[in-house]
Amino acid sequence: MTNTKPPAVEIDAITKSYGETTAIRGVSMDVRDGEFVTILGPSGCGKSTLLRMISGFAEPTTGDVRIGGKSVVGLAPYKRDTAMVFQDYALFPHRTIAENIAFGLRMRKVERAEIARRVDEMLALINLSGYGGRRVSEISGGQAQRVALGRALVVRPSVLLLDEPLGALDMKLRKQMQAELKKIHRELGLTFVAVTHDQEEALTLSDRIAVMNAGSVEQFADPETLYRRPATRFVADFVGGANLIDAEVGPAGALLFRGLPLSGIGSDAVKDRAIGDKVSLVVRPECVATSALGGQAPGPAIEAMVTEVLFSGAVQQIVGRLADGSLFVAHEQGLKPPPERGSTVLFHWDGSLSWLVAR
Amino acid sequence: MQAGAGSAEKRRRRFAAAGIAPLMLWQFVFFVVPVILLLVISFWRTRNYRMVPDFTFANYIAVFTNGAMWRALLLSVQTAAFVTIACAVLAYPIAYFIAKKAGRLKGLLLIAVIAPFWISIVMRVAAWRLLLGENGVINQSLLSIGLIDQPLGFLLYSPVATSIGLVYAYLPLYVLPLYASIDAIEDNWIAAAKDLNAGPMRAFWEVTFPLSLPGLIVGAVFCFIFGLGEFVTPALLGGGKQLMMSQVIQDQFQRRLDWPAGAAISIVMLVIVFALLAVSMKWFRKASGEKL
Repeated sequence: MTNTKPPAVEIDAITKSYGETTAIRGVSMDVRDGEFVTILGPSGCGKSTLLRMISGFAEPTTGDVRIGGKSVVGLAPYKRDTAMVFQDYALFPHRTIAENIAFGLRMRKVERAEIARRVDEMLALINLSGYGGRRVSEISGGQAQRVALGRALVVRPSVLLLDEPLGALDMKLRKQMQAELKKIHRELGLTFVAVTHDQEEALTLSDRIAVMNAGSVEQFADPETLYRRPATRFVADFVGGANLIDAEVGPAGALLFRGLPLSGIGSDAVKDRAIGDKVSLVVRPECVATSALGGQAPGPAIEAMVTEVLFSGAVQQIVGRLADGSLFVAHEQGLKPPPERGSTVLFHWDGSLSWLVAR
Repeated sequence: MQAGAGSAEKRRRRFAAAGIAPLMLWQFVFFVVPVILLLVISFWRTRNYRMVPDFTFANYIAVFTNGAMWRALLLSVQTAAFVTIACAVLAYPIAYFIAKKAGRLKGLLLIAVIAPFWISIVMRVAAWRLLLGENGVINQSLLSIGLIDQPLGFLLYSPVATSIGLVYAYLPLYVLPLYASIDAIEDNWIAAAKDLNAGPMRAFWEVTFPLSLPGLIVGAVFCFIFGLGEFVTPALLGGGKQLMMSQVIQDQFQRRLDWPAGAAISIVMLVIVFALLAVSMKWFRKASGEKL
């Protein structure tokens, strides 16, 4: 299947300012047809504004938004072929479940018999067959979430937008809905663009994730790349939790931590950096193990004082404090007894599992 | 435990009853008792300007066979209906603006809506005489810009004047419940309608209007029922040639000293009002049933 279609959504060098403050600074990204893209970031990073610009509830100050290759800047929401699942669902309280789902079809002047058929079909898809006559006040939060999804999906939008779609659900329901959402996306083959601050949700659901911070996209990549090779210190820290050693590039391929070269770092790790560059070394906790001081570690290693040992069956979490005061965590399999609290040990890892980011 | 919870519940109920008692007493002494008295004397008769205990339907028969009574009732209903519709049309944009567009001015505008209540209705209605009279502000302005050659006589001491006064007096009563209804409509519901391809007008008729119906009904009930029984405004502005029901009642009690006849008309009015309330409560429940 060759994809000659234009991208479902193109965001082209968008900025958004409110008076003096800039909410979005020069964001560009493409969403491919049929892709599930999540915009991930902490609250206030501009991700919701970006979504509102795709739906038409906000306009960019500069830049262009294209849906299916056509610019939609200046086009009112009701003239755009997008549909939104609102954060609080925004179901119409004076209408039944079936009437809520039928709403978009009525507005698009679909024939009555066709509306009835498609509403029934949608109720079946969202597992709410037989609930059509209920009032919005008579269903649970999880069901309301599915109705909101159904109401948006039934119009077969070219892009489905989801604003923190699972944010209001409890943990168990959220897991269940993640699986359901993923299944629906696969079955319908529509383009989904979601916004969330929940990194785990983003990793589970998305084909690609755009990590936003302070109005900019820090990295736009598939979940695995994002986790294994975050491009920036922020992404490393925000997605999945990481150990960060703030260091400086020294002469002869050395990496200096508090002025001293870190042991076990190969010169190829710093080959693209100039002497004096301030960098952070990133390594995931599950890649780190501990050993007694004085032993010979096979790869990079750093000394830390153990401040906490948390045992949870299969995994024991060992928290150490580096010489500069920052924390360093190892998730070890509980095969050997953990080091004692207060002792100083060597945290070490395989050199191929750590990398440098600018800081 | 069980007993303790039970007595706490009992105490709570007793406390609630104690709180509501003064209100009940007030309602009983100043509403229920007078209404019972009215009901009783409406079956009495008058002889030589004196009430004589009796059990006769003559007063009620008189109410329904007297042409003047029907004219008064018709004028009352017409006036109340006109005032209700005029208030609804004027109040809706005001309430909508305060609820959805006023932003930080919300509180200030609400106070501005309520502020006229701080002055006695009699004074406010009397002030309309200065505006509506033949030498009043409106007639003089129209004369001076040459729109009319003669002052408009129907502006004061006429049913028109009564309606103007009532619209002015009742507008806040309509704005407040309507504001409460519209304020409770979440912006996201309207946004969702627009997102699903409803234009601004369509979104209004599909979402905003039906959800504001409870306020629209409560406001209409206030205006219509108060308008039906209104006395002060028609007495001050109506001119006395065409009487409303309340004026006929007053006439019976004070000028003709025929209390039983006045009582019978009052009871008829009361029944009409109760019937209207019952019907409108049903509408109200239906309109807001989804949210309750």
